[in-house]
Amino acid sequence: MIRWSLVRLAVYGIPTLLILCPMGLFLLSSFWSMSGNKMSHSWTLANYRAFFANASYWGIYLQTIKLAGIVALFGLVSGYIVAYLIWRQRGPLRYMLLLFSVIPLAMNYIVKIYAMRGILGFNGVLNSALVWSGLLAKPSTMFVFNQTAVLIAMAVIYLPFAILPIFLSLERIPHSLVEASADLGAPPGQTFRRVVLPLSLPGSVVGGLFVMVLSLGDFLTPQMVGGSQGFTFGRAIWSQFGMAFNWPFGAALAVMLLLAIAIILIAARLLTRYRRTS
Amino acid sequence: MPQHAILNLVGVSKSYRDVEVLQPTDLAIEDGEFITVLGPSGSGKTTILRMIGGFTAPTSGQILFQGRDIVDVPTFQRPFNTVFQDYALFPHMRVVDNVGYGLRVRGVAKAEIARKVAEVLQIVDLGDKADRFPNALSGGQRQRVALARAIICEPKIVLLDEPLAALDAELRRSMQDFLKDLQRRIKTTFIFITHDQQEAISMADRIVVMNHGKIEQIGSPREIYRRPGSEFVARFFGENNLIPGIVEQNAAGEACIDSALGRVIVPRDASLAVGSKVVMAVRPEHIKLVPAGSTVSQSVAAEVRSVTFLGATSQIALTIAPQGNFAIRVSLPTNDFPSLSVGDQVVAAWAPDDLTILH
Repeated sequence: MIRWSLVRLAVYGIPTLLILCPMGLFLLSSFWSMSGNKMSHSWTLANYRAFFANASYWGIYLQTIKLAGIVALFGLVSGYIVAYLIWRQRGPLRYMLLLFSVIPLAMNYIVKIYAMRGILGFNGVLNSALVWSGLLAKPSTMFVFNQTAVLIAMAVIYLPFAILPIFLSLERIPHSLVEASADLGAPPGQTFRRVVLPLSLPGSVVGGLFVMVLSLGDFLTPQMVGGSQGFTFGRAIWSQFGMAFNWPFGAALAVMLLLAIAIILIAARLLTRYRRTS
Repeated sequence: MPQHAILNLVGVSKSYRDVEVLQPTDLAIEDGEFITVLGPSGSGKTTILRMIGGFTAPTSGQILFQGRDIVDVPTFQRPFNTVFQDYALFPHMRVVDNVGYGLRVRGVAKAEIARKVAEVLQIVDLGDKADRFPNALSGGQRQRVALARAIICEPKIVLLDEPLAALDAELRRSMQDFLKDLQRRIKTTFIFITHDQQEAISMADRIVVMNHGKIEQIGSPREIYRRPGSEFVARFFGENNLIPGIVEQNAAGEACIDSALGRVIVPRDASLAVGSKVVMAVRPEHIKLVPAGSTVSQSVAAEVRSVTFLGATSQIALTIAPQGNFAIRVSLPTNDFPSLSVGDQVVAAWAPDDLTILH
């Protein structure tokens, strides 16, 4: 009995200690304030008031949610196309392609960002290709150190995170349903529209929301490819902790971000609950 | 080739790499018949069904529908509908939408779909479940939805892939009656796959018995029961005593075979060469027991080894006296022999016509 309660203590205790406690501390410190170089532990709503009062924080907040939303949408659409094409393959080729598409997950994050810089830069691969093909007269500054650059870089880097859950939701569709649809007279296009898409969409949207959550909090990609133009909320939080040393305000900003993520996750949960297959 | 064949398989075979799951097979299916393809798992029966449905392409051969080769016609253009083994109901659609699917993809008008769906749901007795989702139905109800969905487009052939395998015994029997009845009513060809010989006997007009990727025998349930064409069929299709023997003579209207049952007389058969080895099959219910000492021409003395009470009938295991170790089973109505016990000496008798020679 005692041994079991120890196990249970570890099972519930370790996540509590390592995840819930830091988050609770965060929440707590967002109601504190700085006086000079010291943290004052008296309760205040000043941090949140400052956030809501300052339109530039608001603006960055909404802009970042919008940016993450677009990245997620891109991840959903292109991830679905890639996952679908892989799913349609049979035999060893299928798992080979799947493996290739998720290999980037195992690569270092910084390396991927540098790779994206190499592609998007003024003298990068993308510009060279566009100039060479005649679409552009001279290299464009469109793809580096602005919001577009951040968008493209995040969309590419987070794509594998979307492919995997989308593939899994396609994989969960019993093959006999596809056969039954054809058997009942549906050409491949109708089978996709009436059976495959509706059955895989909830899982795929969850994959897209996953990408959204990841890109909402990202501060490194915006910093490295975004320059001064590509400012995001993640960078705002980072600067409060790393440069302004105003941890309570940083914590309040982080709580606001957490709020956005919580809303997204609840939306995802509602989506997956709306239909459960037998 | 029968004249009214709706579907003809001509030399159809299927191999995966080096494994031949179906040897080149010919099969003619007549319009309006209820044909059952019976065989153990791995016999190739499902492969045949999948090739007719267009889910699997044959390695060689032709599939002629009304005389036209349909091997290259995609599934969605074939005028057949399938009841899948796992039912394959669309989980995101209500019963009405599942049943109406085939009409919807053909662009039939909404009012017409609603009318037909209601009509078909009436036939399968699911009128009150129309707005349910499949996961809120019992196994038997799902089965009937799958059936309704398969007949609503009025297919030329309904393909059924072991549709009753997942149901319990009682439900199964009532579904068998229902299917047979339905098939008579809509006058559509049914091709029914099963591994259950009882199911095959009770439903089929004709049975195709398969084993190891080839057809062993085709015939009516009665024919196959009375005259199994091979040792496999004799074993698989109901119970049989298999008795090895050697042809001693074959002349003057009858053949004489030396076997474990002694010298057995069978009607003359030109294909029986003197000296060749044969196997004979006789059903347990075709052997009679007569009191010891009786002299019947076709009989053998035996000893009762066990008596198993099975209700209306009892199963009796006998050891043949001269051989000592050769056993046969006899099935008799329980009331016919109130007092039979282990060790009793009896005489087992049979009619020559009940023996089937397996080549």
